[in-house]
Amino acid sequence: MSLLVVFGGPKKELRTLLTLLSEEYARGEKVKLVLVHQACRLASDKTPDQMLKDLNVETYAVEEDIKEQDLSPHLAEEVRVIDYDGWVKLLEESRKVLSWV
Amino acid sequence: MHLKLLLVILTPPHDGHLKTALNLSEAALRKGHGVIVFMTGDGALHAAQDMAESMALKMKQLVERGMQLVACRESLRQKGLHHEERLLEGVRISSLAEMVDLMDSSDKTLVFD
Amino acid sequence: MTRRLCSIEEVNTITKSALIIIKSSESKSKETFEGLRIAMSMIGMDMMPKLLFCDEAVSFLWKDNKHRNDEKYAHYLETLAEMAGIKVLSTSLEDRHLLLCDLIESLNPQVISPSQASKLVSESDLILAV
Repeated sequence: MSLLVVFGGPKKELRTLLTLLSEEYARGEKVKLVLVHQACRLASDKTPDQMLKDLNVETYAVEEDIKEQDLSPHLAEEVRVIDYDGWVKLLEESRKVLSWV
Repeated sequence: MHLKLLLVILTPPHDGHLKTALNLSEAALRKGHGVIVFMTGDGALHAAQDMAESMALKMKQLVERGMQLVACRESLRQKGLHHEERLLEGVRISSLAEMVDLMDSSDKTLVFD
Repeated sequence: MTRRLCSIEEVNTITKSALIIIKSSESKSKETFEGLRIAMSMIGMDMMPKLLFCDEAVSFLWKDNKHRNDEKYAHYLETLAEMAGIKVLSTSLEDRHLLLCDLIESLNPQVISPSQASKLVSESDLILAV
């Protein structure tokens, strides 16, 4: 079961957050990231975050927030768009959750 | 598997966090999970009767479907909302001590700040 | 109906280990203050939290921070420092050109590395970020 991280902050905070998850990676634990609110911009392929790619974090973005910010045409391939039902499913499948919203 | 979810709201109205929390609650309730929304700090302002109608209506509907809506007594007092007639129907007044207890007994806790 | 007394073990005991990450800037001081209040409540309920200050929030520990004369705020920080200990992420200090000696001495903050901080995350059952 994975660690589910819900992130809604600016890009500079994501760096700190990913640093704090390094031990999880070292232990071979899976981390799944759900982007919400302004953080959905990180899912845009115009501003790809290398650290997310390097750590191979499974990344999701909430559909409603993507639509509100008109980001749909610009999403990076690896980002999966989910609705709230999908977010609940991720919660069901996770071992613990860290919300940084 | 039925989860017990605790959603803690720390931020005041109009920043979108409550809307996200309620949407998540709605989806969780649909799947048969238990949801408690705990409002504290500026988040307690969401418990006021005179808040935005659309949010109030949604909260009322979700409470009818089993969501628990709880607000911190001290935060309400600081905002002049400690009289029940000023609160939304269905809001239960409690304390941070209970919130800590809920954090311990819930399967997942999310904080919206 | 027979009622039985519960054993001491059955009395509501806290089981989870908690980490509170204080990460918000001074513009969100109300949320930060609430985070400290939650930490105090945890102590009251025998859930001893670990406290980690990072990113912009390290400024709350700075000697010249604008909340230093707020009695309630100072009281919360001092109590938490004494009972739970305060940890600060080293890279957050470096990014802001701050040293340990720039922080409020009486809080006895412990500067920890990213690796040590990530161990805290890994070892905690409950993680709150405010």
